[in-house]
Amino acid sequence: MISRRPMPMLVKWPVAPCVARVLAVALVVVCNSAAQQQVRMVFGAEPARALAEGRVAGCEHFAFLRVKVPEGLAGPATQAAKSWHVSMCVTPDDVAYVLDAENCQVYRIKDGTMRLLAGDGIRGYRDGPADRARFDFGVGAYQDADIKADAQGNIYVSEGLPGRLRRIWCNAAGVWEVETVAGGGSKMPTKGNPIPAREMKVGCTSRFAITPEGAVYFATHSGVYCVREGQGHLVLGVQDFPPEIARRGLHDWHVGGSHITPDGWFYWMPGGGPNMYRLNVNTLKAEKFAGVDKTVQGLDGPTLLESGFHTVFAVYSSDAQVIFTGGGDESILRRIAGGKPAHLQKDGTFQQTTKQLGWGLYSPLCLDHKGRLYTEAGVYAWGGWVVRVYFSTEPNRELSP
Amino acid sequence: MTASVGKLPKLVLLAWMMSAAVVLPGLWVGKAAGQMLSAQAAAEHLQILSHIHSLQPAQSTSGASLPEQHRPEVPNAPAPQAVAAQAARQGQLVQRQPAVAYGAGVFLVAWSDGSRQADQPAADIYCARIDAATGKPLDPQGLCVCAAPDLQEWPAVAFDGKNFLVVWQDFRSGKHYDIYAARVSPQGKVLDPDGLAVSAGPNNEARPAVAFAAGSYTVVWMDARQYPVYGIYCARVSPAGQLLDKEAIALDVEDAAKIAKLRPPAAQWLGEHDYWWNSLASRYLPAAASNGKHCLVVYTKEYPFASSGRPKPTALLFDPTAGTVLAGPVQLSGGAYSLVAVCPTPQGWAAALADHAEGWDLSARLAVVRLDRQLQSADSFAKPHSKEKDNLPVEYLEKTLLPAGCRGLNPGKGALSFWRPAIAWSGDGLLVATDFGWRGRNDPNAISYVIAANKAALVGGDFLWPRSAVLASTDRADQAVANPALAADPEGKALLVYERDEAIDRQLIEALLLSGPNR
Repeated sequence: MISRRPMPMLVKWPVAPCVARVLAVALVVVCNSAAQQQVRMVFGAEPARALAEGRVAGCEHFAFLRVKVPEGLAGPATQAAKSWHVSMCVTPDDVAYVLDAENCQVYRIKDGTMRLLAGDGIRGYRDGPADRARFDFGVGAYQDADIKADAQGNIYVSEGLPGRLRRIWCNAAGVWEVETVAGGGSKMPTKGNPIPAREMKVGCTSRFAITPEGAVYFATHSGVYCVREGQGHLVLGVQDFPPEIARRGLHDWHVGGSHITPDGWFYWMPGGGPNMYRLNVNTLKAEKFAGVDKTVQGLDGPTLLESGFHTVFAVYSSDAQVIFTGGGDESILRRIAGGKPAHLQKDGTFQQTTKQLGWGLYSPLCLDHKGRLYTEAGVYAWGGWVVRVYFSTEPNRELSP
Repeated sequence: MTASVGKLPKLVLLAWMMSAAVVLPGLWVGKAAGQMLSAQAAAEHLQILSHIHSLQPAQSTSGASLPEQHRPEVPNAPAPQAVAAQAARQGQLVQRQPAVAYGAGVFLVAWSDGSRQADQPAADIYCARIDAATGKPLDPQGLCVCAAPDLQEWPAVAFDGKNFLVVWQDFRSGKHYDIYAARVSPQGKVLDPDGLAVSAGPNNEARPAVAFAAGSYTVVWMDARQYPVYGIYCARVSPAGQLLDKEAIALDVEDAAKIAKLRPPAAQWLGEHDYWWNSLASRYLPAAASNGKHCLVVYTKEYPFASSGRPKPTALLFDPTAGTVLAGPVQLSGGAYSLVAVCPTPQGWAAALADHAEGWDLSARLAVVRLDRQLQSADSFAKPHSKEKDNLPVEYLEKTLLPAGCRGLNPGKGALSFWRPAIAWSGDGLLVATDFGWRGRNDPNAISYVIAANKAALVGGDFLWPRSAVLASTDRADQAVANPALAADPEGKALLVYERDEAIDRQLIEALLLSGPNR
């Protein structure tokens, strides 16, 4: 039996004033669906505003030193070691999960201590007890794997090359296990004809999006698919996409970032750029969201459709009103808010520019429920250190842990 | 031998066995130090390889036949033995990270044994003896060295003429790793149950190595006491098990004044615009060897992130009598991200490197860098992107071991993989081994792993064998052979140990006794 870890119903608000706290709780109350509730709890009023409008007001070393060791090295988070190419997610109980593509392992950072969660350190394929399980992350010099969590505390990882989706979960005996959710088969579902997810040839791509309930969305050559409750569904086939999107290819590989909002917008960035697309999985409306159809590094245009990107990481607020991009060949961190991209400047503000002036926060990895951004200190997440970034709308205020 | 051999056409099988019978003795017999493989022998070897490549495909996990899954195997190789096949605990055998040393007629093999479950961690240090004369395992149930709470991992072993010292990294604090050690007699008695603390500060101390020289053990490890970098530290331990250096000796660490100058006033605040640690460098993953008088310590030293260089193997010579660094640190020739093993030689020292050529075309390679007693070396890799030739024994594993159909895909263990080298002086040459692997082109689940060995002389620019001999292999994504370690007795007999992962609940340390010269 699967023992699902309950998600805390109330998140902590370390810096929010009481008024904001009350407003945020009120927002929670009026939300109807569980998904909407989740969003409001994850991004309360002040963190959301700070993310969208604020400046970088603090930055701390969160985890890892720049040493590259086989099988990883546990210990105090800021002294821990991994290899390179990471993905990361943070659950509402403040536990971070880090995917180490080269070591084919997943680490857990809890209460300031890093430990191995899953993967025996050798590339392969094996389900079972998490410390003995095997993964196959990463191809060549690229990172082809992603990690995300659902609201029940299940951790999902993708394996881009073999096209598998795996779940890491804790059983009733407190033993972490790994199981294959999707992929490993030879078929793909067609419209209106779901198939068992384990029979899917491509059960996941490098990047994927997940709903709080654990439904996984991903884009591959033949369309956008959903895996939920053990079944694989075709959401929209490539032939039903607008031609200007379909002809460029949908497949989500390499770096990038995918996300799904509570109102059903699935965002993805095929091949890490140069365009970002979105598909409403309820209405099946698909559109180009950002990009100029060709690689243009760091171009902050007047609109997103006039802005250029080049092989970037992308992380999203729950409602996708705020998106951070960076890493790749662009190096610089950018924020998309209010429908416009802007570069991080040396004073911590974001300004529209075409110049790469600023602060090398590089590769954004994820946002947590407190509106903090986690980045890796190198392009393509090769730097080694993971840092946590704080935002504030208050001038001259420094935030630190 | 795999079942696939049974499917070989008889003629092919016969020719293959005959050819192999020619080459195998050549692997071990009659190659004096410094002597190059003759052209004829090389030709014979190549002929063998062609036969090996004509093997029938192995089976993938899906049962499909995969032409690219050819796995060269050496027939008539001595049969490996499980070091401690009866050491099952709670219904499973999971043995990892083997280390080995020779002393008093036995090889002592140590490993980490048990589970690394995140919320129920229980990995202990075990060891077992192998009779050096017969290769027979003497402790099939294993000897428990340390069963402290939480994780004990990455052991290393040395011999002082009377007893062995096993050292390991220990997570019994539940917060950080410390370095512990315990003596084990050649008769199989653990003299310091659960170990003595060699270094147990409030920071991470990990990946120890150990060597015995000048009357004391030198235990070396990577240490994070100097935030935000790792440095190389050591402490001496007497044969009686006494810690001689309560304050660890810094062997190669970052300049403290430089750190203080760069570090912003608020400890956690990263500074204004850039990472203040960008110009600092860690030293990590040490290996150690002894020539009886001094200890060679080789480790990885990273280039500061602000520079464009890659981490490089670095060597220093430690004088245990004075407690000081005698020579070095000197940078060894290396590619990107080398892992290193070291041993003494009659003329100085040798380091085996499992590393990658620099650049986007990352080519895994096994190499030997030979050093004189003052750490001088003429061995060097060609400069990246130059037309120079490598000037050292080096084998580009993707060219020699990968079946042709697999070339171009990243090998199995990692994209920039951590192949682990091992090295020992075997009386007539330097025996080196590494793990290696690859993935089938058509079936991502068909991942092959091998333990491969080659041999180098003390001089000369090539390995003695044009291609490594494969001594162990697997061909399924749920199995592996990995993490080799080597030790040799004074007669040159070498014991190769490695992990053989057979199933989710069964991973054993296997040992292969390799005859020395003129046997």
